[in-house]
Amino acid sequence: MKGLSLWQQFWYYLGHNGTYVLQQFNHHFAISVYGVLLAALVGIPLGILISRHHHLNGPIISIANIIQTIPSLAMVSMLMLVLGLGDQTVIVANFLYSLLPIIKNTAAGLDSVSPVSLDAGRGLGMTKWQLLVMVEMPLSVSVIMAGIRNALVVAIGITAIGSFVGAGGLGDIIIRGTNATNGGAIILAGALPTALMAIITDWVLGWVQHKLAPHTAKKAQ
Amino acid sequence: MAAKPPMVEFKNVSKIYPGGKVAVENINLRIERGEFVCFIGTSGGGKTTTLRMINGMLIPTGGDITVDGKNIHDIDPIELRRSIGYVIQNIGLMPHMTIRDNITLVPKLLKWPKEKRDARAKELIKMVELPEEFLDRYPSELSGGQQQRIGVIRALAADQQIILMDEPFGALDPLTREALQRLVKRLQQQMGRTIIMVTHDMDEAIRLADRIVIMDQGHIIQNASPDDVLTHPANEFVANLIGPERLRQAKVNHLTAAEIMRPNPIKIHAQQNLGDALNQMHQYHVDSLMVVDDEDHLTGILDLKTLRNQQQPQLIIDDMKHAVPVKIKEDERLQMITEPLLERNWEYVPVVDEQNHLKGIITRSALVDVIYDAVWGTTENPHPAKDQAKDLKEAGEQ
Repeated sequence: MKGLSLWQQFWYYLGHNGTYVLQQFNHHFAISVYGVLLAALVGIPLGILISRHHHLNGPIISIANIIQTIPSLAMVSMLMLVLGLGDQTVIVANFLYSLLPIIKNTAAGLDSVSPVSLDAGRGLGMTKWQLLVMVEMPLSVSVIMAGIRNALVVAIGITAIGSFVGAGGLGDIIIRGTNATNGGAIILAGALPTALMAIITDWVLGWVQHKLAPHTAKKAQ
Repeated sequence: MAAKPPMVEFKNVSKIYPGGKVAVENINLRIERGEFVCFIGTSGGGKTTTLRMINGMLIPTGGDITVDGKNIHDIDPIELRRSIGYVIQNIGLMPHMTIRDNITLVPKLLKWPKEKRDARAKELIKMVELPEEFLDRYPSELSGGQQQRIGVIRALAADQQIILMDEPFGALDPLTREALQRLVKRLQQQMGRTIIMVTHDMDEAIRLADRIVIMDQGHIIQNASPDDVLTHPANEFVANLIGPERLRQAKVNHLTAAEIMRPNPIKIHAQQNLGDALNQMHQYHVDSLMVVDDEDHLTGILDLKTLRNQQQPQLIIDDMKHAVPVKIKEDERLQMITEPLLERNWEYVPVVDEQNHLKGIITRSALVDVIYDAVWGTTENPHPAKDQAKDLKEAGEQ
């Protein structure tokens, strides 16, 4: 590859290893999404819980906050001690990091629902469940979506580190590049798709969030 | 057959909030089917608390509330609320639902089939004179008044027999408010619904209510028809709530013929003759006489026009008198009296009792006095305008 510029080397690498990069891209994305989805499954109910019982707000948010402050490399390494090498360790790390934004946004979204809508819903004879499903969730879904979007973008970054503990993904390519002499092009072949993935995810989920916004909010924008 | 139970009844109901604040204390109240009842009073007087106890939004701490004869304690609160319409001040349409979905929210909770719900939405939106296209719009695309129209029909959508309204028109401009008041009154009259409304607007209560319930500090101070409240306010508090302006107006509007009339009108017996009549007119400087029989029954009127062409003083009055064109019973109200005098231009109207005994006469000048009182009031200075005119006159002469 001597004599080629960095960008020529980059395209050359992609040309010859395209399928491999795509495979790692998909793998990377899947690991990130799994972690966030699990966090949503746990975080949304927790968010609903603390919006109902405000005294739980302190303890739950504190724990999630502490998790958030652990540096990702430390987190991944510590989890590795328990869970061993492999995808599962990174998925759990993503799960833990995603909890805070999802819980917080769920609670904030529910708290932002106008008391007038709640009073009207209750007065018209909605059960608590109907109130949640027909009024509160639809009115706060865009705020919850913002939390998920935030979590997924962060998770894509964390997954890149996951290669240190044996998880696949675009991080694998980056490490390959750092180990090789003059591996700049290889690093780029791992790093650029990672960045692209984060940007596109952010953009697509932003669009979804906007579509889900209740009619009034949409009009105001 | 036993009489139907009242639509809503409060028996010794109290509501004490945690912390000991007494919102409502031991109230008793019956609201009949098809009645329009307004709760009015100062804020914190317990009227909203009372209203919200009817559909179980608040649970009384003592006493019983029955709806259509059933103790609401024994009814599932969800079912109870679905059977009672609810209209609130901030309208509370669901911002994420179309107008159609908003209107048919309760039918949907009651699991009506979709076609029936759609038909209902169309029928109801027609009733409030909004175009059918609005069904597919969202609340934010409607004006405040239009939104509250939807709020009102949402409360009717599932044939609720009772509709609770908590200051429903408080946030609307006066014109819109008036239109909605007319709408609500019409719905109540046409559809026979029972409406219970909390308001702080006395004019609204007077205009709409069949009965006004005045509350202060958790007690019912007065429970009576608007007429009764206006003419006989129970105490100082009620009088203040009504305000001096309305009280005076009400007093004037409720004056009876007996209170306005001049008693002892100039009259003549039917068997007297023309000469007697002329003497009477001459003596009292009047141009007409009330003709009465032996028992003082008003039988006719004799006026100058009739006398003009008669030359024989021996003619009997009974043969010349003409019929009484209009007369008024002594307990009739001012409104009934002003109509013949002002609209039909009579100079005077005789006043009789139930048995047609002549009691008095109301002239245009008597009416002037009444209107004068209504404008200036009679309490402090009985004749401010007259005195003023006199003062000015004297000042001018100097």
